[in-house]
Amino acid sequence: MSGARLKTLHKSFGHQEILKGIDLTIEPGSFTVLLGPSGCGKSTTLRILAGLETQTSGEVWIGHRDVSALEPRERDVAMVFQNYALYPNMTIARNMGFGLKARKTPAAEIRTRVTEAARMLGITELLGRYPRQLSGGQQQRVAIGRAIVRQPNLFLFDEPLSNLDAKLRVEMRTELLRLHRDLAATTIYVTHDQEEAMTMADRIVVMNAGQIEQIGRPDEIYFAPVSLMVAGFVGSPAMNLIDGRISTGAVETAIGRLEAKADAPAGCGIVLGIRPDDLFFPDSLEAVDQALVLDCHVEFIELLGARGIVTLRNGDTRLRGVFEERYLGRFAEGEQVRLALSRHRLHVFDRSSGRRLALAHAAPA
Amino acid sequence: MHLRFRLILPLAAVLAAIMVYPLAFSGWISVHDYRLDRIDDVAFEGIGNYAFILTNPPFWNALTNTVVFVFGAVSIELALGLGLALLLRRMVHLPNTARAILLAPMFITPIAVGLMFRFLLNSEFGVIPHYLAALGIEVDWFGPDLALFSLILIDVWQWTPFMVLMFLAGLEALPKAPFEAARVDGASSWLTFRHLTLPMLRSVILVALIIRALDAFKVFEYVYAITRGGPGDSTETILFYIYKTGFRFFRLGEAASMAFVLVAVVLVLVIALYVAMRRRPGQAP
Repeated sequence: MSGARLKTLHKSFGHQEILKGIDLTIEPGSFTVLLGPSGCGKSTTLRILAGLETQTSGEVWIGHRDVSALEPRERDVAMVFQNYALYPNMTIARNMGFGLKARKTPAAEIRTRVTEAARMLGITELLGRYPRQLSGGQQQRVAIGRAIVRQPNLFLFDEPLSNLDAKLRVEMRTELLRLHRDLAATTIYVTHDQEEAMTMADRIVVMNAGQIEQIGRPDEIYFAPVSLMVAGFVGSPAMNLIDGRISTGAVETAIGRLEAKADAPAGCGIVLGIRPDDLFFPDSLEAVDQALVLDCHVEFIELLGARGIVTLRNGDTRLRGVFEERYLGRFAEGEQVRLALSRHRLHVFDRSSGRRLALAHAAPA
Repeated sequence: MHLRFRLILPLAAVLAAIMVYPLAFSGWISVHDYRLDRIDDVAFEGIGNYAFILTNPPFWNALTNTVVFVFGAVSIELALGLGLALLLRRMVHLPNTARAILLAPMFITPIAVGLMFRFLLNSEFGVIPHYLAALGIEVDWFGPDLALFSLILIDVWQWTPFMVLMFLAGLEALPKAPFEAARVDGASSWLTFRHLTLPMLRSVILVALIIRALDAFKVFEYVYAITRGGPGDSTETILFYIYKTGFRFFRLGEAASMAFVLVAVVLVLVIALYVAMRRRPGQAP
């Protein structure tokens, strides 16, 4: 089992700089997710790790080897592609065994390992078929099977689930996690789906515009986003972002004045972030924790099942809140409602740099 | 008559005049003793012409020469074309210029190519034998042993670019992802070529083979421009023999029957290639 390391990785295509210095250490056995909007460089990072692209500068280490200049086949990694990339002219069994054949593994051993991997993935009865006779979900299993028979140093997944329908995606997510637990293999997984990232990762690497924004456990990324970009990208529905500015000893925003000291000079423009699940009824929040009480106008209620999304308006500011079903009865479209914010669940960001600002609340009166 | 039938009438008439009538007429000729020098004395022969040509050694010689020519030329063109296409794909500098230059021979009319090589390879004042002689190599390109082979080389020179064009298009249409998967899987270039490129190019290769083989069966211009079938009958191809029989010796009945035998031979070949093309892996046979 090996880890991997990227050292000040740069990549340009022509004049366009795709990666602007990526430094990343991947622990052996971990499940790391590279998360970011399209075009942020996450796939390029993965392809450089695989050796399919060459970095403009920087180093790639796998285990204790500098593989920066090595061909993909010398790196001993396996990759699962978004469009599966199966060999159309080969049966499933030959597809899965091709990597072993390329490494001159004896035929008997190839057969054993392919059978074993097929059993793990529940695709034994497909082994004699051809890719075009399989559904998308089955093809994806084969692609995963092709990766695991190799028993490589690293597993690389490039948005493997994005071509599947929603239900299958959730199923495969569980399956991939089970495989990861069984094989305990170092896995690097690229996705733009933050839900996938939150549910699967040991560690999330949020990327934006060729740089790493934040590295952390899923809960750290969610509860303590270091930047406006991370805060806005992670979480669904997205975090409510409200403009404001610092005044002496307080933070002034469109929805009210917070008695708190932010780590920035007075007059500095800020953005206040409130997660949709961090809107509370005043009676369910201790008075000392209440940072602000808001009178809101209820615009719409969207029921999702056990939860609902409520769109609210305070003055000119629109807020979205997520409430459990038992609270939804308290809202009626067109009516007023009083809500409170918890002082422990507020995020303040510098508007110009996007960086998170520390917030020190004034002692409660 | 319904309007739609009246609308296709002109086309049907043209087709009848330029295809159906000549075909039927040549079929009629082929079962008659039809000679251009005795056009008012035509006797019904039945299968007489066919029986004669099928037992006639010069006909078999011409057919054998043609098959050797087709097989030799097309297989060299296939191998060379595929190799060049693969190399051109990897070319970094001036790839488009190289492609354009490489395609040039295809645009020359075959009779001109024949004349060109007749001078280039002439054993007495040809430029190629001259320089080969300077290297101590004496070759009589149009001697009895080499003449057919020389014609094959000329065909290769002119028509390999066509193969290159087909294979370049085929290679460019292949999906990239399986090849990246093969690189990560650790496959060597040879393994990738043997197990991915070649099988995935299968239908393009078969189409190219059909087109080129059909075309090569019709070889006439090089023979007419250079060897006239000689020395002896060593380069007499089937089309040249048919031309000779029909238009030099005026025995059109015999010529027509040979043309029909040629059609049968070509048809068998085309059907065989077509069946091979339809039988793709992963489909019920």
